[in-house]
Amino acid sequence: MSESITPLRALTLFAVVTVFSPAARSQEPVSFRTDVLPILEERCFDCHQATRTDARGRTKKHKGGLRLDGNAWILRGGDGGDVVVAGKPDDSPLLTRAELDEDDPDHMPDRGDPLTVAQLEVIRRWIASGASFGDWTGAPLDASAASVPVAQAGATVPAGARAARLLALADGLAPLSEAERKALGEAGAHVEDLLGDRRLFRIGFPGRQASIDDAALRVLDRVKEHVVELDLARTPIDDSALDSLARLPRLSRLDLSDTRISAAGLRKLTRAASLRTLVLVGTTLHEDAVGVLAGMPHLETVHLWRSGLGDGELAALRDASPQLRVVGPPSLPPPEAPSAGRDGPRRRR
Amino acid sequence: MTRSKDLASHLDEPTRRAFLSRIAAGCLGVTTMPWLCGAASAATAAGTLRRGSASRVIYLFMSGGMSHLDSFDPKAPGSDVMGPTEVLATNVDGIRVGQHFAHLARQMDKVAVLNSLWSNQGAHAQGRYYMHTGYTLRGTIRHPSLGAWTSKLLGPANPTLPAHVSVGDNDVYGPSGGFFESRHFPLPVGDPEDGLRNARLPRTVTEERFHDRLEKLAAMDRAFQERFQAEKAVHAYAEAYEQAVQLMRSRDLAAFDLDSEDAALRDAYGRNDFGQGVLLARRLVEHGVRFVEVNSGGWDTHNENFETLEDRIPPVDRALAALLADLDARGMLEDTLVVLTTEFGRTPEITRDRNGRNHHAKAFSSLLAGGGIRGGVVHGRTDERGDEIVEGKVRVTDFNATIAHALGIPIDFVLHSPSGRPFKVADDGQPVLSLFA
Ligand code: HEC
Repeated sequence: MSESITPLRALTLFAVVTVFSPAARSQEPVSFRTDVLPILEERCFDCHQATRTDARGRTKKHKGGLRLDGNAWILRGGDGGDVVVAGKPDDSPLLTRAELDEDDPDHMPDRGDPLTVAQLEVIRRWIASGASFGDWTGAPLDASAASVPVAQAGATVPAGARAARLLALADGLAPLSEAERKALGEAGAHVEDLLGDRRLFRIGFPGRQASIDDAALRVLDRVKEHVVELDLARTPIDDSALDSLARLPRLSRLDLSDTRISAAGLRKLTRAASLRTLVLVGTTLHEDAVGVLAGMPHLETVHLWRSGLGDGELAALRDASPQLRVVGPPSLPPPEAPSAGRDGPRRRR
Repeated sequence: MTRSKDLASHLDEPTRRAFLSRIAAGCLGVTTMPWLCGAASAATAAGTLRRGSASRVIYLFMSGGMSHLDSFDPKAPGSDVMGPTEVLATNVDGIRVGQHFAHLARQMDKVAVLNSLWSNQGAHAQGRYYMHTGYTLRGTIRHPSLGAWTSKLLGPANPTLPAHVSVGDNDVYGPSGGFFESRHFPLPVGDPEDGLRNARLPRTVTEERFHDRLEKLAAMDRAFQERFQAEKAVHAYAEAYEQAVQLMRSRDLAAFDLDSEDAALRDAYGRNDFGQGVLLARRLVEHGVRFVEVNSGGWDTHNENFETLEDRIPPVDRALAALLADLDARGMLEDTLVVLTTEFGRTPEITRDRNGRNHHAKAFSSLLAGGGIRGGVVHGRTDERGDEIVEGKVRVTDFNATIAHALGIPIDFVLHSPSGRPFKVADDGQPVLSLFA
């Protein structure tokens, strides 16, 4: 794009712009559906859409790990990562690769003529103005999206997994009212808004743990649809508090570290419909807790360091619930050997 | 194009509440990423939320410029850019680290490696300042660092503790409240072993000496305040003092007391300033401090790079590995973001005369873990010498925006300095969304 625009080119450019692209004509906003999508469909889809079988029966997979036939796919990016950075055309490979010299090996489209100046301009303006898809969604993500790009081979979770879970939890839920929010504040709760739209919350009582008893927890009843994460570590609560906690329909994560909770109390949590993570560090559980924990239907992770359960019990729990992530004592670096850090390779002088 | 909402020149309590409910209401009038702001939509179609899951940050700063080649962007062992540094496999296929990170190598499934940081500030003070604030160092203004933004916009989680603490030897180019009120300056803890012991009056210090210490807090920015807000500074100073006094009387002083930690755990973090500082950071965030920075110095390896790193890295390796294992065991990794960063990397060329590496700002490495960041991930790539970024460039402001995003601080929220200029938490940075779960 560095060559100067000759009068003739400018004229053609003007003609192309005015005739073919309504949005490029003025400073009107670019619409993805009417302005950008046709360009991608015509020039990119051939190599960047869902795997399909061509006329000759050969399967054709999308190239570079990149699909452009759905908004979620575009946002997911390709093997090299993001292809669109909203507001930053020059950082968006979707545009920059199309702007490359035709004989650059990275030039897109990989085959055929380069995009026209007007087409490039439309894409540039679309990205610069925020890369909104409007009401267009296109093909939804499918299981293949979870296969992580090469640069992320060891990833423990696919991008967006937590997001998807929270959004599912929030589905159909109205935002918390101002009055309820206030009530939480007055009860001394510290509140984090997990989605940023007032629907799902992380609640704790930092600095006020000592005064949190069953009565203080009654405030949770007022907001019970909205409690997703609850930190009651180091509070004086005991098993009696767990009846009401088990009734929090979206409670996914509960921290009961350093409380006087017992297996009998935990049994009540078996009814908690959404409970996925339970933190029980610094408790005094006995072996009967193993069966209770193994019987929790949705539990995915349980933290049992200093919980009174020994290695044997943790192993029994892992056996009983192979899917469950049982987190025991941390594997800490061993104590420093007197010569640690000095046993590297020979120094170069 | 982008029109950011400008809500207030500074946030007093009502404004902060307005700010928070504004975020909650769905959208700050931000148009850079309009899909984030649909009526009830909290996410993009790809399932990226408006924020990560961090409520708090432990920010480890390698002062002086950490060599990316000898740490998290190692190249072929034996190649001329590696010198004698050997390379270790980790518990994640495809992620390798420099030889002195043997403990961390076993925790890399929790860590995202960024190997494509880019800065244009190749001198120490400037680089450090840029990294902390997202703005370049100017004569006329002091910008707030990330911890101060966190304190200002999110406030303390525990009202009796400061929101922002700095541990170790930080200078004025490090964590700072900038043009914010004094209470957003980090509470400095020089020696982690000492904690706030001096604050326990009247045992070891006089009230006056404690007062002096607080004064230091405010004095960091005295010159600036004098110029722009002489009156306000007096208020802010009084406020900081009051807050600290409140702190002194608080039961939460226990948060600063490392003696209540298990001796074996203290050993695991390493019995040195950095190790104990990192352990203190964990204690503090556990008690509701929002942002703790721990400084490690001495990374400016112009001379004897390899010999120096043999001393520098092991305490950091040990402390960070212990921290990640400890946070995970306690179930704290989900809401605690751990950051390891530095002002720039170091040259692939090894100087002949001094066996060192010089400053290298155009490609360097940092780590993120926890707080909704996916582990076992590498973002970005440099060429085979570690010289130029070839993929996934992350500008300093993008890095800071990623931290802000993890915490739920909107990157387009504007605050004005006393002289009326607009500033954002990470300037024009954009978060690296693919790092989030
Ligand atoms: C004839 C096939 C073909 C067409 C048509 C095509 N591409 Fe590609 N594209 C490829 C191949 C092959 C790769 C992977 C190799 C590479 O990165 O160069 C790729 C990779 C890419 C990447 C990099 C993905 C990543 O993350 O690594 C982008 C961006 C891209 N294409 C954009 C486009 C755009 C925009 C168009 C339409 C203007 C287009 N492509 C048309 C074949 C094609």
